Amino acid sequence: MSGQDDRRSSARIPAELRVEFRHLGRPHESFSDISRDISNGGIFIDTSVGLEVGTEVSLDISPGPSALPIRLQAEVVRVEEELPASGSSVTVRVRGMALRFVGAPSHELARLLGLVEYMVEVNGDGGSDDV
Amino acid sequence: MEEAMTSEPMRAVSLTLRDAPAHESFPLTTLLRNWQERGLAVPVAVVVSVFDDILSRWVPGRSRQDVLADAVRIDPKGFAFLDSPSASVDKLYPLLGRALGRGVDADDAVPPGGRVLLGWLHSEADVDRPRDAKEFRSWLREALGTPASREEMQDCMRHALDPESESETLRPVPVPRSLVSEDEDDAEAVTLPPQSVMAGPEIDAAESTDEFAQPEPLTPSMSSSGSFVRSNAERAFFISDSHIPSFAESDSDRRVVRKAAPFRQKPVSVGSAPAARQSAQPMAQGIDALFLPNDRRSSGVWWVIAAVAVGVIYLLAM
Repeated sequence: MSGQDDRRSSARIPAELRVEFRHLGRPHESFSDISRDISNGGIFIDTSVGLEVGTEVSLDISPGPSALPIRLQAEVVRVEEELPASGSSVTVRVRGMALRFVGAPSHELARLLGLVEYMVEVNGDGGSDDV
Repeated sequence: MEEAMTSEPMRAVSLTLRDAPAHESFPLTTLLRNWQERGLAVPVAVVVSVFDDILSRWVPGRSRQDVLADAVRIDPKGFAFLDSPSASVDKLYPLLGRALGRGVDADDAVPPGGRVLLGWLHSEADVDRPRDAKEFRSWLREALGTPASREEMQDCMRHALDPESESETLRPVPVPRSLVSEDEDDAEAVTLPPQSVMAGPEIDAAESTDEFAQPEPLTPSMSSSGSFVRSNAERAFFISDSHIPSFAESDSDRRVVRKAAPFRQKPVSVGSAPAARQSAQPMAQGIDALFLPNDRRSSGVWWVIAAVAVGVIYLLAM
């Protein structure tokens, strides 16, 4: 299945989850950032960290206190960059990375999507007038 | 992968979203107090992490009480949660100020981005404030940067419990003694350690030890009545016409040290020297020498020589 087909078949759900990721080749380096959207095929993370396309990373997402973290592996498929106004390619600023889950256990994916549903229920996109 | 996903019902999987029992968790009060008692401010990234966790699970409620530090607990993995009746997000503002180091006498422990944010949140002017927890989360991240990782949270808690423990990821920053405790009147005169600012972006872990030993000094903007917070907020109001605060560029000085990732920057190679260096030439050559009228060589000397010569010839002829 091509990447495009894969993207078409999985709906992206906007969800801001704290995602910790680390380069599999350099496991002592970890980063913590927030997801923009999640599907059952992958995740987009808003981050200023730009890894090379094809880099494999491990992901840790904490569903809540006292809960085991959701652990997945993924591969960088796209890096979103923002060029400064000057147009210089030297100072490219990374805005985020699209990752595709690789060999993800079904129960972990199910936990993740269940968490996303929960987050949408709690936070929702409609906002709240609680202030 | 997708087949496996669709064949398994989502609801059947327990998310174990219950809150951790109190005895297994660590109160935020202890974290703040233990760090501040040693003259250190909790790293900004840790504060962001705590509030991000709380806000990510925030359920709006009707409680009129401000959320206190005692009500926030952190589980052993570093996940913060609320152990009190739900309220509106504005009830979190005072706690945010305290966690960032806002004290009674001085605000200099609060990083600049935090000052603007707090000033905006506490402003009496008619400005927009976060409408909900989701918006408050994004404001926090914009003003204070990214949250600490769970590992860093655990490190921070370990450091609070055992000050002797060496931390690889944390970079404590001294704060004024006046912020040590809100209810302690410590009359002991203490030389205020300088607030430190982490200049530049991320600092490599290898450098962190030295940096910790000798933090770069920052002249703190002391304020006796918290007016600095307000004035910053007002500045933000006037700078932007909109009713949305504009936060300073990443100024989370006390953030947890992170390791640098290989950024996608291309190496810069310059094939030739800059024009200024290429055109190095003598300032002025002889041909260009410029004589001002007053600098012209005097011809009177020749007249004197001629007169002397004529005199000598006349004497010889005699």
